[in-house]
Amino acid sequence: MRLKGLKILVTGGASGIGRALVEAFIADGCFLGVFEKDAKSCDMLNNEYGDTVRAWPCDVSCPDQVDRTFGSAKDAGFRPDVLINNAGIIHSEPLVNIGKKTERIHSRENWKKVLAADLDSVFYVTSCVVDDMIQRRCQGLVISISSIAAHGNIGQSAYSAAKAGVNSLTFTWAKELGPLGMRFVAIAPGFLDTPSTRAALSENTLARIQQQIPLRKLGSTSAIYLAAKAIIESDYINGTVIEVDGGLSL
Amino acid sequence: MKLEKLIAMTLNSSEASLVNETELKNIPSWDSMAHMVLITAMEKEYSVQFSGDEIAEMKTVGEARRLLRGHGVSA
Repeated sequence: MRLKGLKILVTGGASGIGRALVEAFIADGCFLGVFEKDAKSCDMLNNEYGDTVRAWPCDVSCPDQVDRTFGSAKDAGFRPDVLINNAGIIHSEPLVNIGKKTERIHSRENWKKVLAADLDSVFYVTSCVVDDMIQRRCQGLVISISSIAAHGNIGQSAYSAAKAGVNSLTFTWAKELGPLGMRFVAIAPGFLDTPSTRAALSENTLARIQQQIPLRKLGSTSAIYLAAKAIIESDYINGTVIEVDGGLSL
Repeated sequence: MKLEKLIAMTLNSSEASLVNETELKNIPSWDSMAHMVLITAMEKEYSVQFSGDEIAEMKTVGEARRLLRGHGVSA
């Protein structure tokens, strides 16, 4: 695929990795669509980038909203060649909190919330986009942002399970829809030097993690963009998870 | 390419066993995904594009041939 002129739909494109991808692909001459939960962020994106970005408010964990919003995008002439499933939440909570006397067990509500945001959303958006690609005979690409947590992360039952599910969907769809020329790839970032990482982890914890990474440094959002760009441009990458983690998961 | 040959190649079956009355679903390797792969192969070979209704209607070799004729293709 050639980048220039591609239509790329990014979920959760207003901040973090999603925003970095949106900005970088605009610079490459792509047209971006964004499904974003926060309506104000959508307004900002629409005002900031003019015709190159079109953002629609959408909670991608809600199937009705996804169906409706994808319909609006199609009506507006935005039918993506590439989907990047990026929206999601990080949640840490032990399976059993032995330090508490009551409510020791991982909240079921949080379990459902994380699975809905990180796994259900990928299923809902991808199914709509792929159906449209099949109708248009578009040999499209779906990139899903996974995580090295898919291998299992202490204190992240829901997040790890959701990301493992994302990897599994990637393998399944690559096998199922590959014969139609469609590709499915996941990117599993490690620890990135972003405001959200710094907000979630103490300096000491970050320093300890950095020592465990073979490259001895945190990653950047541009590393995720470069991985996504390589996947788009190389038509033979399919059905795999690309770990962008400095070697941490070795 | 002759339609029977294309179907046989795409669905891994014997060309000789295909007649107009052959139901695609009775070809052992047929399933809904194989059907879509066959549609894609036909569209590429004969430079046509079927509608969703046409894809759903295509249940036999003969119907596939009739739909191709509708697009001006003799196969």
